[in-house]
Amino acid sequence: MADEYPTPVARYFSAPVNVGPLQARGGPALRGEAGQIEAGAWVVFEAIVENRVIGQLVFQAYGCPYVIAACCRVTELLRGCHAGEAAAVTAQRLAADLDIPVGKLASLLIIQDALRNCFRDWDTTPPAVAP
Amino acid sequence: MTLYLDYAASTPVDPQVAEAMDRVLRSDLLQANPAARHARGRAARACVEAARLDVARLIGAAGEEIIWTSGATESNNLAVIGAARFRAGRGRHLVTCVTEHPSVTAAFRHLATQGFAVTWLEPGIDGILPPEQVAAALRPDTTVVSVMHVNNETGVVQDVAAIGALCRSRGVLFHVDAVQAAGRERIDAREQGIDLLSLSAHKMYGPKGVGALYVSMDTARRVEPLLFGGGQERGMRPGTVATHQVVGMGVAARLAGEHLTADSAGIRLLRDELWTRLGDLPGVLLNGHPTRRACHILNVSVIGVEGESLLYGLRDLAVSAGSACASGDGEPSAVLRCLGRSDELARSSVRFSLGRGNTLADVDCAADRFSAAVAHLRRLSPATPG
Repeated sequence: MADEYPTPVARYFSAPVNVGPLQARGGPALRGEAGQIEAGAWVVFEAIVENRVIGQLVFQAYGCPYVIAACCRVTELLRGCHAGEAAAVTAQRLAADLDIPVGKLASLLIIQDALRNCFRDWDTTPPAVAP
Repeated sequence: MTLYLDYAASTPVDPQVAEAMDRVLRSDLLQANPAARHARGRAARACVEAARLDVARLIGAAGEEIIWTSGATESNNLAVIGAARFRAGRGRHLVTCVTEHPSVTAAFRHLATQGFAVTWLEPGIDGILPPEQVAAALRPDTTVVSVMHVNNETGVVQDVAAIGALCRSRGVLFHVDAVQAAGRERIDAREQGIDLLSLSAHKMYGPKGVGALYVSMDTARRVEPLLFGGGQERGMRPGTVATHQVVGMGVAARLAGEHLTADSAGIRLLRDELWTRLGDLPGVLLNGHPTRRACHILNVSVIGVEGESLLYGLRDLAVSAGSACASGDGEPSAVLRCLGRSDELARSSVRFSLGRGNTLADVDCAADRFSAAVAHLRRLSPATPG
């Protein structure tokens, strides 16, 4: 284990943001996951898209501090964005953003896949209804 | 401040040890080479021999049966490789256990490339290696058996006396890595049928960089050296003996003997209290036999929690993990895998090892931090019901 992680990683690990599951869905939510415990990382995203805009995006993750931090970062990056922009978040971008070592790329690809799976049908899912 | 719970990795130097070493280092009289024949050499040699007796007493041996080394790795290498080579004329079959320390397993793997046959025994899921399993592995050409007394990861204690008696009855040399046992378990090499026994100073409140190998005068008599040079240490370990280092080890051994009963009872209480606290948490599993364990080690795995994150969550505790995976290529503990743990559980293992410096308040603190770290990670995990 690294004694020290990059500052943003340490900060997200200690105080993670946008942790799921969604409490008040108010209607159909998008959900996507990837990975498994045996792979060292398992990530689930849940989102609510209203008028093509990501209103809520939360995650749950089993993984190392880099995985937890990258999931936090994803949710912060995409909240309030057009749902189509989710596809633009890549493992490489997360690695660069958070100074994550190359050896962790496989875990970041799991995050990327979970995100893709979450937003795969964003434009065909019925809109959320306010609770 | 980081709370130190890693005494199985290394112990702090006892102040009496440091004082003794300091006296040697500052004494004009003791600066000579202890192998020298002049008066100053004899003075240094007297310190070395007194220390040798202290180490010998700790394990029920005679002074001349103690060979100074640089530490546990050298002691284990010298015992295994040196004994196998010395007895190669009688046979080339060796027996050991897969859960031995890497300085033992690597030595056996090296011998396997040199024309020796090695039988690798696997303990049960509790970590215990039954003596009958050792008996079944012995062959007419078996020359050396090596089984550690206390496992460095799990603390599981092997029945070395039974294995020793078995080996003695079959004329096979028995080596014991007693690095974790010294000062925690009673050791009597002669009574327990041990022919070769490895010790390290820094696991018993002595300095790093010095260890010892017991070579029974009655049975093993000698091993082939791994180093070549002068005739020091009965020709088995050439090189100038570091007077201050061995004096430090001697004092550490004497204190280990004096404190054995009180240390093991007090530390066991702390260890048991820690397990009571951790074992109450859901999904926390004890690794290794529940009762046949040394006083100082507690090894647990946590279901549904990733190991690297757990260790980072415990960064205010100086503990050891089941893997080191900063670069993403960390392998799970081979010892825990052998005990039937999955890769994930082996990776999520934490070894707490306690020592003389710890208190009940430390145990409370460690349990609180562990509990908080596990709860934090479980809140994030998709494996936890929402």
